[in-house]
Amino acid sequence: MDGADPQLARFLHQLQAETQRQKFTEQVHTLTGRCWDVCFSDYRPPSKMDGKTQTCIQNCVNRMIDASNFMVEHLSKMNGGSV
Amino acid sequence: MDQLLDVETLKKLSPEQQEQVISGVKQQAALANAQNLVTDISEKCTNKCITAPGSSLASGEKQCLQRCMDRFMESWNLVSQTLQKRLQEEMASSGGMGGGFGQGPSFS
Repeated sequence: MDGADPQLARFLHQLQAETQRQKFTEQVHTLTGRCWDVCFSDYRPPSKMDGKTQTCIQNCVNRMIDASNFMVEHLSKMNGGSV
Repeated sequence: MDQLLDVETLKKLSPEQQEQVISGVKQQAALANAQNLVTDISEKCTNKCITAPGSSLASGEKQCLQRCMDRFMESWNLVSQTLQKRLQEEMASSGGMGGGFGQGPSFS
């Protein structure tokens, strides 16, 4: 972009960082909703978060991302690799 | 929004105006995130805790709501940490894109 103006570059960088932070937060929001439904499915909320539930949430986050990557890959293959 | 993101327009801003834009963006994001959290928590927790509504909010329901909110916040923070770690790993393995986001956000 405009390397000549460090003030502007810094400003644009800040804007970009805020945008990324917001995207990240929205992804946390979506994943929390889904993983909550998966990991706290049948019980009433317990008085403490146990290790099993913690592992469930961590696995849930990672598998959701794997699933998303897998589907994107599959879709781009279906498309004859033209993406 | 389109006007704000036009680089020519951005170039014309004074440093003070730039700061105003950044703090406006931060404020809007914080507001949107708080609203999202409240909407989500009330949906998830009333689903779980208010299953047979009586003539008043029973103490069991209150306890359930309290626990539900606490567990939901914990889950939120755990998801945030886990996602951040995963993104950092992916960035590290793909080589490019340094940076990342320092400490991920968390609600307390």
